[in-house]
Amino acid sequence: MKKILASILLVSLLQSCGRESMSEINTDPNSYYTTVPSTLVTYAEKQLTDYVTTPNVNVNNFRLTMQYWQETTYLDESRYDFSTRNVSNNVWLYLYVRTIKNLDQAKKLINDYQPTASEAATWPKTMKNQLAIIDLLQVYSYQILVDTYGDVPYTEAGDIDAHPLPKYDSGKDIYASLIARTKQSLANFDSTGLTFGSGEKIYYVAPTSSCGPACAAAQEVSKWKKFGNSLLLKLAMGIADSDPALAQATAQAAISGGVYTSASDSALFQYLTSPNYSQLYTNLVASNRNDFVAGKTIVDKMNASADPRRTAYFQLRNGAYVGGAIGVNSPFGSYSAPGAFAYAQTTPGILLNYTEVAFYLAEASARWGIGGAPATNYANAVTASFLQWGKTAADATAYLATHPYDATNWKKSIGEEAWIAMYDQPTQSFNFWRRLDFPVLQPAANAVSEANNKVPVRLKYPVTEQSTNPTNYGAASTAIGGDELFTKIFWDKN
Amino acid sequence: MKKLTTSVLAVVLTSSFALVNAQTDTTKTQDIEGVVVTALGIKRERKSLGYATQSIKSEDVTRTPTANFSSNLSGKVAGLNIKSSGNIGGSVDITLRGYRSMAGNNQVLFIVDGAPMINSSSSITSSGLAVDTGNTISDINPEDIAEINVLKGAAATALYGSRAANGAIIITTKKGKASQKLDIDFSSSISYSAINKETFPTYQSEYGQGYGRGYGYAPNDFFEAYNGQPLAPMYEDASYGAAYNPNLMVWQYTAFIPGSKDFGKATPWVKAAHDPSYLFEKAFSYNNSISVSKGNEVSSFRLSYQNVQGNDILPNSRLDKNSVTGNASYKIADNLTASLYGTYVVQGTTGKNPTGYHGMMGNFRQWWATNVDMYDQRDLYFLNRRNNSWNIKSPTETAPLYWDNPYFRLYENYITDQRQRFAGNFSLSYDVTSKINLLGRVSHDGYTYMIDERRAVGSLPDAMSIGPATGNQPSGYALVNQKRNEENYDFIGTYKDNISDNINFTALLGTNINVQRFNSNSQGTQGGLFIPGIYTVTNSAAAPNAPIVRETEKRIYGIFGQASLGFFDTYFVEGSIRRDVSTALPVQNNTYWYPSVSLSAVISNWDFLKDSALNFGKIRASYAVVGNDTDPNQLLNTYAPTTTFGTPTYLYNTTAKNPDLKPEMTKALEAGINLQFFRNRVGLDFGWFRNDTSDQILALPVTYSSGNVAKFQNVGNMRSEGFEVALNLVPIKATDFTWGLDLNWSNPRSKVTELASGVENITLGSFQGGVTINASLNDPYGTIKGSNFVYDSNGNKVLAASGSAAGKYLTTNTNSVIGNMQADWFGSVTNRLSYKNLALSFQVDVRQGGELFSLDQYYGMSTGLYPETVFTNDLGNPVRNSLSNGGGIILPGVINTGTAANPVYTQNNIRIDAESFNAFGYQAYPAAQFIYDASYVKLREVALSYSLPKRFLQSTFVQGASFSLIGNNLWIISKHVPYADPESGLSAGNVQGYQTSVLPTTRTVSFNVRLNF
Repeated sequence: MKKILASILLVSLLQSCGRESMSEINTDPNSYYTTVPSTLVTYAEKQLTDYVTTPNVNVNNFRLTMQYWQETTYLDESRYDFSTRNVSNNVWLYLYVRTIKNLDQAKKLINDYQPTASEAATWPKTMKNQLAIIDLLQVYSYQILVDTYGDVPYTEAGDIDAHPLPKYDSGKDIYASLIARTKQSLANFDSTGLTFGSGEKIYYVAPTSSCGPACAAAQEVSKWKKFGNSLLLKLAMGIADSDPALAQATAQAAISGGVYTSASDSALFQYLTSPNYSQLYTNLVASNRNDFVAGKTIVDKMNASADPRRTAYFQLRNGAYVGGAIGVNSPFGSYSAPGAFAYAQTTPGILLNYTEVAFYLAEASARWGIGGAPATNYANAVTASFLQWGKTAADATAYLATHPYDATNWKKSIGEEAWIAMYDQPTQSFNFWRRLDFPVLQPAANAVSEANNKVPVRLKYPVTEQSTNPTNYGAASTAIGGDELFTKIFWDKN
Repeated sequence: MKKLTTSVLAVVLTSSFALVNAQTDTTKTQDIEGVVVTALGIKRERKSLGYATQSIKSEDVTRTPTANFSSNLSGKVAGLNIKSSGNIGGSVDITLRGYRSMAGNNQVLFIVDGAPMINSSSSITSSGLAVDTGNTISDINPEDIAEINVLKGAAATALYGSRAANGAIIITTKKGKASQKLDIDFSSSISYSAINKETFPTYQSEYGQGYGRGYGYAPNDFFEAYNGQPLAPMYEDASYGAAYNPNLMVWQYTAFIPGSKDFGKATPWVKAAHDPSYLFEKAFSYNNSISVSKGNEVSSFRLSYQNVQGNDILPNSRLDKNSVTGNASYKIADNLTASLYGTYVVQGTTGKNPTGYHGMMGNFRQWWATNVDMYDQRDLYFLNRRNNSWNIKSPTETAPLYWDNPYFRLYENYITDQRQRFAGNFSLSYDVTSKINLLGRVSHDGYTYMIDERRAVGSLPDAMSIGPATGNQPSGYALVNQKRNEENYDFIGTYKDNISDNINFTALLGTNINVQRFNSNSQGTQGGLFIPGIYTVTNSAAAPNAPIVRETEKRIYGIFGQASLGFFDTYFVEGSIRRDVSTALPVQNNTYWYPSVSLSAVISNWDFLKDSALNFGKIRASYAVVGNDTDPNQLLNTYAPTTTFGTPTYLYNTTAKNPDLKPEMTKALEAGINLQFFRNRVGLDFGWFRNDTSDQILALPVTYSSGNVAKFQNVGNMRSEGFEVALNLVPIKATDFTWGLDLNWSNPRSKVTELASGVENITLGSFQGGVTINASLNDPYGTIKGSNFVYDSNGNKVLAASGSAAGKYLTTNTNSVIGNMQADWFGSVTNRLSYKNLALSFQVDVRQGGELFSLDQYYGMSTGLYPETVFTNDLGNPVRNSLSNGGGIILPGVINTGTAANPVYTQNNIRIDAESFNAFGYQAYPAAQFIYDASYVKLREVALSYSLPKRFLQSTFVQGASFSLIGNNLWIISKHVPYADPESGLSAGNVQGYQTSVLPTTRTVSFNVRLNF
C-alpha cells in the first residue's frame, strides 16, 4: 500500500515540471507577440482612409446624407435609419480600434525600441518624426469623432487596462488638445531624421540614386509639415463659430506655418489592385451590387449650371444626368450611376486635399480677413476643384463667371461650392454644410421617425455604449443635450 | 396538446393502478437498483450514488439509423437537451441542465470505456456564410454501444476534471461474451427523408417580381420598358411587383438566356408552377453494420464495421462514413488483465449547406420572386452548366445581381469535408491483492479534418465561407486542414474493504495527465481562379494571402482522491478532491483544488417502509466544486498579419488578452429522491439542482473607445437552477401484452446574477436586423434585444402621427429586450406497447416557452413573399392597391394627437401605402414584431418492430431476426414559428434564439433488419 501511494505521488511530482516550460506550452509559435511599428502604421492609414471614403452602408453614409447619392432599392440609410445596422459601432471600430489603437501600439513599440549602433545617432530625431506622424494621424481621427458625435472618450480612451470605462471629454476640450498636439508635432519634426520608410503610405518618397534615404526622408518631413499646418487650419475652421478667437489665432498660425499650396501636397492614400482596391470599387464593383445612383439634389443643381464636373461625377443614363429623389426607390436602370472614378480600383482615397484647404482659406479670409482676399481665395478653391476633377482652369473661369463670390452672403457662396467640390469627401462635406448652413437640404422622403423630420446633424453614439459604458454614456448624452440625430454638436451654431 | 398529456396521466392514475397488483411482476429488482458505470469506468451500485444518473438502453440509440447517433438521445433523459441543426453532417447541440457558462462550453463530456472522446462542434463563420462542421462524437458507431449512462451533475464527474462540469455521458462499448461459437450481428437499414412543407415558405400567388412602382414602363409602372413592352425588373429579388395577369405577356429573364425554351419570347405574367420547394430531393440513406465477437474465460474480442451512405434533400449532397472498431481483453494472469479498444473512422460529406444571411435558404425565405419557376432554373443550369440565374442585371447583362442560379450554386460551388479519426485506449489492470487494484491507462483520440470550398468562375462574387481571402471573391478555392489530438494518461489505485459486516470502504487515488493539441492551416486563392475549373490554392488570380496557421497546446496535470463509506447497506457517504495544474492559466493562478461530497440513504430499508408499496426508495444530496481553466494562448496580446499592402501589414488584437486570469469555479448543489412502487411498476426520480459558475472566463465586450472590442476577463456569475422528473410506468403487464410509459421533464433556467463592475450586459451574438443575443445582468440568460414598439401608458402600440413616417410604428433603439431564448421546460412522453413479438413505441417531445427572432419573416414579409402580405383590406379592396384605389392598411395602435409634453392618444386612422415595398416586414415594424414563441410539440419517433419467433428459425443458422419500421419527426403537432421548424437555427453553441435562412426539416421513414447468427 505504501509503495502504491509513493508511486502515485511520484508521478504527480514529476508532472510539476518547470514553470517556464509551462508558459511556453501556452504560446503559439505562429503568434506574433511583437511587430515592427511601420506595419501598424500601414494598417491604420488604410483603415482610416477606408472609413472616410467607403460608401458601405454599415460604415459611412455621408454620401447619402449629403444627398450626393441615393440608394436604389434598400432605402433605409437614405432615410436615416442608422440604428438597424449599428452604423456607429462600425465608425468607432474603424477609428478607435483599427486606427487610433494601432497607432498607439506603434508609438509604444517606437518608444521601446533599442537602436542599433549605426542608428544611434539619428534615432532620437527619427523617433520624434515617427511619433509626430503618428500623432497627426491620431489628431485627424479624433477630429472626425468629435465632429460626428460631439463629446467622445479622449483622455481615457485606448487603454483597456487602465481605463476599462473611459469617460467622455467635452468636444471643446478635445479640440483645444488636438490643436496643441498638432502644434507640438509640427515643432518636433526634424528634417535631418528619418521616417518610416515604405511602410508609411501617404507621403512616402522612394529613395533614388540621386536622392538617398536621408534626402527622401527630408522631403517626406516637409510634406508632413504642410499636412500638419493644413490639419491645424482644418481644426481652426471647425470651431470658427464656437470659439472664434482661438479659431482665428490657430488659423493664422497654420497659414503662417505653411499650408498646402497645390494639389501635389494633398494627403492621398493610393489604393492598389486586388485585393487592395479602393472602398468605392469594393462596394460598387467587387460587391456585384447596384446599390447607388446619383442623388437628385446635386444632379439638379449641377444640371442647372451645366457644371462640367458632371462628366466626372456621374455617368449618363439614357443621354442625361438623372438623380434619384432622396428617400425614394430609384431603380438602377433609370438613374445616373456614380462616375468612372468610383468604379476604378486604384482611385486614391482623399484624407485631406488641396481643394479642401483652399476652401478653408476662402472661409478664413471671408470670416477674419486673413490669408488673402476672399474673392481670390474663393476662385482658387473652385478652380482647385475643377483641376482635381480633370477640368481646366478655363472651365473654372467660365463657371466662376456665373457663380461669383458674394461677399454679402459668403456662407452661401462658399457653402454651396464647397458642397459640390467635396463630392468625394463626404465626411468633410458634412462639416462644411453644418458650419456654413448651405446648401439648404430637405429631409428624405419617408425619413424614419428617429430623424424628427430633419436631415441629421450628428450620429447617435454606438448602441453598445449603453451596455458597455453606461454611466459615462448617460453623462455624455445629457451633456450634449440628448443622444439624437438632431442634436447639434457644440460648434454647430445655426 | 396539454389536454392529451393530462388524459394519459388520468388513465394511469385510475384504471391501470387497479391492474398493477393483479399482474405478476417479472421485472427484476436488479434492473432498477443495479450496477452503473460512473466516472473513470468505475462500476458502482446505483443505490450508493448521491447524485443523479439516468441510463439509456442501447436499442433506444440504435433504433433510428442515422449518421449521428447523438440526435437519438432527444427526449430520452430528463434534463438532457438535444438540438439538431438538420444540415448534412451537421452538429447536434447536447446540453444537460441548461446553460452553465455564459460564453464558454456548455456541451456534455463524452466518455467511452473510461476515456474522454472529443466532441468538438465548431462552425466556421464568415461575414455572410457559416459552415457547420458537425460535432465529432457522431463518429461513434451506435451499434458498438452496450450502454449509456448519463451523469447529470458535477459531483458525479469531479474526477474527470473541469470538462465534466456540464455533465457526462458515459458510454460502455459492447464486448465479446463468453460463448462456444462466434456471435455475428448484422443490421441493415434504409431511410427515406423528404421535407416537411410546414417548415418551408408558402408563397402568395397574386404578385410578381419587383419592389413596387418606378420602373418606367408607361402603362404599368411596375415594369421596365423593353421595346415598348413590359419587362420584369429581373434584377429585383422581391415579390412586390405587378399583379399577375395571365393575359399580359411580359419579358422575363428566360427570354434573354440563349438556349432557353422561352428565348426571345415574352411569357404570360403568372405565378410559377414550381416554387422553391421543388428544389428539394428525396433523400435515401443506407446504414449497414456487422460485428463479430467471441469470448472465453481468459479473453474476449469484438470487431465491428459500419458503413453509412446517402444523399440529402439538397441536390448534390452526400455523406459517406466507414468505421471499424475493435476491442479485446486478455487475462494475462489471474490478477492481471490487459484490454484495448480502438476505432478508426472516415467520414466525408459533399454539399454542406452554408447557413447565414447569404445562405441559399435566405434566397427562398427572404428574397424571392414568385414568378420564377424552379424547373426553369434547373433546366437552364443543365443546359450548359452555367450560372443562368433568374436574377440577371439586364437583358444585355445576364450576370446575376444578388443570387446565383440555385442549381449552379449546388453543383458548382459546393463544400466538401473529410474527417479521419483514430481513437483508442490501452489499459492494464492489476489486482495487487483482493482489496487493491492498480489501473494504468493510456488513451488517445485524434483526427484530421479537411474542409474545402469551391466557387466556380461565373458565380456571384461573395466572401468565401472559409479561408484567408480578403473581400468578395468572384471565384476561388479555399482549404482548411485541422488536426486535433487529445491524450490521457491515467494511473489509479483502488482500495476496497469491508471494515466490518456493516461498513464498507472504498478509496481511490489517481493521477491524470491530459494533453490537448490543436493545429489549423487555412489557405485560399485571392481575387479568383486563374484557370477556370481547377480547384487548387495555387490557381490564384492574384497573390494568395498568407495561410493562417494556428498551433496550440494545453496540458492539465491532475491528481485526485476519493473515498466512499457505506453503512448497513443503507447510508452512503462519499467525498473527493482534485488538484489541477493547467498550462492555459498564468503561472501564479494555474493551480486549483476542488472538492465534492455526496450522501445517499436507501429509505426503503427503513423498518416502517418495509413491506409497503414502496419496494425501493432513496434520497440523495450532493455538493461539488469544479474549477475550470481556459483555452490556450489567452494571456499575451498579439499582433496578426493581414493582407499585405505592398509592405507587410499587421494589426493589434481586437480582443485584449489578460495575464491575470484566474480559474473559474462552479459550485453545484443537487438533491433528489428515487422511488419505486408496486414492484417497480411505478418509478419516479425527482431531482433539483443549482449550479453557480463564478469568475467566468470570457471575452467581455468593452466599449470600442478602449481600443479593443473585447477583453478576456473573469466576469460575473451565472446561476442555473431547475427540477428534473423521470417517471416510468408500466400500467399494463400481461402475458402477451405490455404497456410502458416513460416521461421525462425538466425546467433548467439560467440567470446572470453578477457581472464585472460597471458592466450590465454582455452581447453574445450580434445579427442582421439589429438583433443581439445577450447575457444581461439579473435577467435570464439569452435575452434577445432589438428594436421594440413604443407603448402608451395603456399598453397600446404608438404610431407616428405626422411626418414622413406617419402611420408606421414608432420604434425604440436596438437595445430593448424583446425576448429570451431559454425555454420554460422540456418534456417527453414515450409509450411502449408490446404484444407477443410485436412492439410499438412512440415518443412525443415538448418544448414550452422561449422565443426566437426570425430574420426570414423580418425580410420575407417586407418583400411580399408570404400570403400574409396579400389580403382584402378594411375597405374591401386588395391591400396592395394604391391608396387612391382603396388599397393600403391602417396599422392597429394609437397616435399622439396632442403634444409631446401632453400626449393625447387616439386610435390610429392613418392609412399607409401598401402598393410598394413599404407596409410589411421590417419596413413598418420593429424587430419585436418578428419574435415568435419557440414552443413545439412533436411526434419525434414512432417505431414498430417485429421479432421473428424462435420456432421459425430453429432449422436455420439464424439465431434471431427482427424487422423495424421507424418514423422520425413525422408530425409537428404544434408550433408558432411560421414556415419554419422552431428547432432550426444556428449551429451548436450558446447563442440560439435567432433564425435566418434555415433549412426545412425532414420527415424520415426507415426500415431496419437485424439478424443474429
